[in-house]
Amino acid sequence: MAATALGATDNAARQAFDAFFTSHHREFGRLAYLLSGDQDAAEDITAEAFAQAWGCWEQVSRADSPPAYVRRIVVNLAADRIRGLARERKGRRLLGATWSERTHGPDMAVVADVRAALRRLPERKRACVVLRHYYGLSEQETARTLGITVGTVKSQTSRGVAELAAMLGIGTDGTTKERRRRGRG
Amino acid sequence: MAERGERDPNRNPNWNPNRDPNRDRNRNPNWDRSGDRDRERQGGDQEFWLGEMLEAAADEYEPDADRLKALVAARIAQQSDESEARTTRRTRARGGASRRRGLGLPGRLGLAGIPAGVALATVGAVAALAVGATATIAVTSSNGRHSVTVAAPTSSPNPGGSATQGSGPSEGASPAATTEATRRATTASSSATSSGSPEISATSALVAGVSSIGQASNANWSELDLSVTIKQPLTAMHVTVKVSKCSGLSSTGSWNSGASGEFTEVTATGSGGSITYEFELAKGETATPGTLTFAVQFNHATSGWKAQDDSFYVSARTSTSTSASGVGGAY
Repeated sequence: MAATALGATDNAARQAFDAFFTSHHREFGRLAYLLSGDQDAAEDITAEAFAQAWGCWEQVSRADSPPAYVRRIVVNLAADRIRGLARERKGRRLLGATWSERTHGPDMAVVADVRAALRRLPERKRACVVLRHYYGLSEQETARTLGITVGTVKSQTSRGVAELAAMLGIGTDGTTKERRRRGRG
Repeated sequence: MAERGERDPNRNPNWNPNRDPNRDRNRNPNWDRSGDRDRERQGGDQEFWLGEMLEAAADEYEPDADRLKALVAARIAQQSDESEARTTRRTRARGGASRRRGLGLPGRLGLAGIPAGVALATVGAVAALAVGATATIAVTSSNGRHSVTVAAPTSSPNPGGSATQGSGPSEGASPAATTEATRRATTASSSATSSGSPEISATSALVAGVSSIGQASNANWSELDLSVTIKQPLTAMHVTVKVSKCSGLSSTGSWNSGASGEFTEVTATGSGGSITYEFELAKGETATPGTLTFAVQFNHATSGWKAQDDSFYVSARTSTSTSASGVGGAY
């Protein structure tokens, strides 16, 4: 039943929505995962995004690019969630790390895992890096998705990449030059 | 980075990491973006390493389509429920049972039923394994929540009595009603109707589930019950109950009414703080038609826990099934 519908009816909208779900759930799930840093959150965000998309399906389906529309929902939900968690964390410590938990310890550069490194990027930089480099969006598209200017996308992305590279001990050309580029952005 | 703008228009804005379903099994970090990568290299882009690393990180997560579907359906139901809660005083919980017999009436169905069942029921039908699910979620009332066990499908789930019977006329009617209801609920956000009905289970052939909150629950401790009606002998059955993260959440146990050793139980805490309880039919066992209860118990802070955030998913297969059928929804 993998490729079947959410609710196959002769209702055209529902069918369109089902098809949309089938072809995009993995993409949005993974985007949410990269943005949120945990699988539970990714699942919640993705489900909520699709539910919201269904809530305004007429608009979504009329949009120039329905996937782009829902992608924005995913990005916004991820951002909301991250901010919410950050607030929550001020009051009490919770189990499990989230992206929003930033560490400023001196050993950042030792982090060898891109996921952990991504976690340390501030939300907007992370979103820029993910949308540009994982998703392959253009600067313009990234700007539209995040509701920021192209200039901001450029600066946030390049800083984000530099910070990631530094954290991973990688030169921006992909070579490992841990000793040489150990700084942090 | 500036030069990237010139190349970007060539990229497909709808590029879909999804498009090769076999990719994940191959786990090839270069998979179908190798073309892009080459272009980037030729273009002098020095950051191709990053895309590859991000892909590898993203690949760690394989969304479970069936679970996601159930969650989406549950949320859609919740949306309609919430919008109804906003606009009307809810007094009809107890009248629900009889009312819900009239499924398919696009009228005000009132209760917080879940179209998860609706959705998945038709999934089952597509797979020629009619599956129905009925989930009763808490009615969002002013005093928080109370579970309403409505028109238990366990009592008369299949009027036709035929286990292999496909969805009856209600199959067409119920999703339509759901669609209708959710659309109204979410677009008009006024006097919305909620949707779904236990009647949906009339279409089921393998399993039906009814969720409720255990009566012994108190302010700091809750039990979620899932009553699963098995319609045909099952050779595989898997029940997952996920309790979303909330303040003070910790598992205190789980139980099921199956025979001793019939089901294995595993409880795991997710990276995000949720708890997932899994019950799996032991190898070699066959679950015979009847009703089983799967219960999960946990502590939580006095406020912050909402049953609506919790979900269940049941997948089942018979010895002749070619694929598993599932039902799911929220509590």
